[in-house]
Amino acid sequence: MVFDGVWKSYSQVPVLRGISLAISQGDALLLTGPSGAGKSTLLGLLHGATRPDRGEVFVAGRSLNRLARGSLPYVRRNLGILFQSFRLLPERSALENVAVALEILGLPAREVEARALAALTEVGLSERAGVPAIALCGGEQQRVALARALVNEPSVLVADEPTGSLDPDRAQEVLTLLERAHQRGATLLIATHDPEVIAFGRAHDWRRAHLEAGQLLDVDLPVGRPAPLDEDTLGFSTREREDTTLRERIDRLSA
Amino acid sequence: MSDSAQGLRGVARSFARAGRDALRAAARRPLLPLAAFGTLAICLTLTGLFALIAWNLGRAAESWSGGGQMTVYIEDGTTPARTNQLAAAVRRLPGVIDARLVSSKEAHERLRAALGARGELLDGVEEGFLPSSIEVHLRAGTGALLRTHAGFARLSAAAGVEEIDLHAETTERLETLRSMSVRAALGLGLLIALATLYLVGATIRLGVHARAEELAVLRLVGATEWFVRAPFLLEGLCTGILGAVTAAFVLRLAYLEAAPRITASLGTWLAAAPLAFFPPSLLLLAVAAGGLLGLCAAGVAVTGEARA
Repeated sequence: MVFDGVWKSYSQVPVLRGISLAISQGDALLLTGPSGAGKSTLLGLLHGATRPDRGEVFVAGRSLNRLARGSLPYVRRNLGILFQSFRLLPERSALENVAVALEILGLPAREVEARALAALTEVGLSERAGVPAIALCGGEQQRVALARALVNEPSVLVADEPTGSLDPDRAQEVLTLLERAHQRGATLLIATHDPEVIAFGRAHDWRRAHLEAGQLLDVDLPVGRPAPLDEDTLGFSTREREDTTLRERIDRLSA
Repeated sequence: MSDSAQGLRGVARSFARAGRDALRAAARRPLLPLAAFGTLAICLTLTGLFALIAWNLGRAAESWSGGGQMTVYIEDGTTPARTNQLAAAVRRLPGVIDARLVSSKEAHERLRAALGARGELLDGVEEGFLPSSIEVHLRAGTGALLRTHAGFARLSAAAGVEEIDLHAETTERLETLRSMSVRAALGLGLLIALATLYLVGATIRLGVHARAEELAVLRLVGATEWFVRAPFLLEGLCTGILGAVTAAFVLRLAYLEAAPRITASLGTWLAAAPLAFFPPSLLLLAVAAGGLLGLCAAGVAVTGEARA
């Protein structure tokens, strides 16, 4: 994922000011900063909820700015998204909530059910599969949301304040599950201002980028975890590999 | 399995999923689809009622105008041989489709039949008081031209011919009435169709708003616009078809109830073209149009939501 000189304003108030950031495949990055710093807007750019006013955003080698509207769903299928408010379908069961992410792929019903149940088992909720989301507690809802985000085996997991609505024990459970996904090769990008999450990230060598008033103030690279920026780690397509302008941008960001 | 078979399975699964979603949404909030269905059924019944009236009016006008556009009245005392000669001459005129002899007796019987219950008025009236005639069926639009033809002038002056009535004025009036009723039916039908589109679209849009968060979640997990819209389009299509079938059923009941009373009160006016209900082919077309209307209304509603 690459943010290249990204600017974004709402009602002429700048929310992001020239953000340049690159996240390699398999990397884990905590995006920290106070409320209103622009963290959610930055994540929103990744899943196409909004577009930058200036600059460019690349996901898996594709420029989201140049992406046709009809192609956006296919990019989102490679992203697992986790929200503070869970964004579950309250009247549907835990299993149906997870199954939604597979139904959109047009898979047979049996496969959908089996894979959704496996994802729920992974987050420890197989016994609550038939319970409507609205009847689950906050921690369970976030785990259902996580199962939904993981069930497609996405290459990137994006989480916006994933522990914001949870007590410390439940927060640890969710963070452990996120780390497990990371260990399996998923790229993590987590926006938070929760000290416990920051401590967890530090303990697991997650990188950290600090955002304040729409500007990136600090990006650290943990010792022993160099994050090389090349076409392979960024997952660029053949066409993008031939794009010399893009190559220059990556070099600039690496420097 | 071949690619095409897999593709078909995929499409079938999409439709099944869309149907399941539409049913689930309808079960959760039954009032909204019921409101859409009710609105559509009422609007289509009104449109159908007007169309039925216009259609019967058109049939009647066509039958009146097409029944005999020229009548050649024969003088009293003309021999049958001379009458046949005149009929043959008429058939040779340009634009004549058919010429038929109507005897004085047949004219009398027709009048009695047309008077129906009041036929007794003719009791005691001599059978031969109406003249014999030749009823001529002309091709549409040839009446006025025929008047200027030399053959027509010769026929007018021929021995045995008392009078020639071209009915041109009556025919033109009936034709105007028919074309006006068709135009009015089309115009009003279009207006009601637009109103239906708006009302049903607004009702479906309420359903879309009620499920806005659900649709947003579907989009966030990577659902395509087709996946998001399909249940609504299917709902619109089914609502349209059900609304049209209901409207046809209500109209049929109303027709069965009202037709005998109208026939009894209008009597002889309807002798040439009795009241009739739409044929099955037209009903099928109306049901298909209802489905299309529902589909369009749903399409407009979900497109508006996607833009928002």
